[in-house]
Amino acid sequence: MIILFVFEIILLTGKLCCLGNVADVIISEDEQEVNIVNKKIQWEAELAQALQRSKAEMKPILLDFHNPH
Amino acid sequence: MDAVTYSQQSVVLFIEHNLIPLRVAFDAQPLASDFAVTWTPTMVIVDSQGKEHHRIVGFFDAEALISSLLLGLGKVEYDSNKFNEALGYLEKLVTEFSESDSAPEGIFLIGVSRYKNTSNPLPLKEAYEQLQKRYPASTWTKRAYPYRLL
Repeated sequence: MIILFVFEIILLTGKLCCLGNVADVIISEDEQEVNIVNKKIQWEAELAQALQRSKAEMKPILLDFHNPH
Repeated sequence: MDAVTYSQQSVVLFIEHNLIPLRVAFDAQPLASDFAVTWTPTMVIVDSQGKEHHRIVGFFDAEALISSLLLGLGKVEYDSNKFNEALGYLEKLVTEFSESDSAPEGIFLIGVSRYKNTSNPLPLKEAYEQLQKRYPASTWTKRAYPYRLL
């Protein structure tokens, strides 16, 4: 069991390294799920593109006015 | 917002699932003028036609932001006369975020949406009674005050 656990940790580490900053990995072991998620919001930068996606995906737009300084 | 709220996985997943996120600088023209933005952070929920339905100004933590976004999503549907869809978001808001600042407005809009769906005024009275019981000091309780007579 311990060997299996260590093996999965090694596998997981490898997957995380491959995925870089965005990791979304699901591991199943004895009906137990470990869900590791490390995502960032993928902001659109142009209104036209956001409107196009809004129509296609039938979702409203969250327009964030931010101060970059 | 980036360090405290937008980095929370609950916020990332909620926005990814329900909204198209668009970020511009506070002084980006013509958007800043079109939406009369005078302070940051300002977040506006707009529909696919570019029409505003909900606005959030100032810092919100993750739970406050998600609850306010649920309210905004409900208002998008409500403003389009899609009351069943609006009720889906609003009922989730008042059930899962009952302690949030957005919950009283959610109860108010649930009452109005149910009334508009059925032409039965009873949901308006129920909304007032629920607001009076749970949020007696809320401005939405005051706004629903006349419904007690229905």
